[in-house]
Amino acid sequence: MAEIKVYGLTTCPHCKKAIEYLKKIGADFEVVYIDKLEGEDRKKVIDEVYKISGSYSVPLIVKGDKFVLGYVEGKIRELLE
Amino acid sequence: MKVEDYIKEGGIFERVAKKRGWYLNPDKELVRSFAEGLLENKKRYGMAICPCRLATGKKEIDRKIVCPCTYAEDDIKEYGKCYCGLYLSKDGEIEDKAIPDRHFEYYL
Repeated sequence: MAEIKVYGLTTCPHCKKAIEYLKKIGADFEVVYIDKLEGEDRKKVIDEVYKISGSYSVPLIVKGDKFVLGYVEGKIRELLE
Repeated sequence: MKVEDYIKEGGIFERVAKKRGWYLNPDKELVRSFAEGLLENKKRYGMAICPCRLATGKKEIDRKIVCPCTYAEDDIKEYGKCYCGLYLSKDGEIEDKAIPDRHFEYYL
């Protein structure tokens, strides 16, 4: 299991930027694309996103019990430190 | 419809911004990515749905988030940008921070 989990949408520009940034810095991460899921799987993940962040927004970048909502390089860097 | 139809000078994005009294995000790379996302959603759902939001597949609900979404006016007034940050209230960079989604009730 990767150290970092990213919840996003395949169409979301901010998700793309966050993923590019994580790649650039060589982070160990996996991505869950919510729009690729259907039915119960999708509901389950949407629930998960809300439980973690109190929001349905993406990208949601999670490391352990900490998270960053949105593509904010400084905050992502802090999260990974 | 092509990406260029959205992003070119006098294209869809510029025309919408002008008509509504908004500004377009100055990040050209990001704006291109919005256009790509909108076109992908148009292909998938038949509507140019906001690329930062999850479509439900129910037309009456998804219609609310066709770009520019029905929440854009309020978000731009309150937060200085629309939910996805394509349209802004002023010309220039704004705080890169996620804002609450007024459409959230339809996701579950």
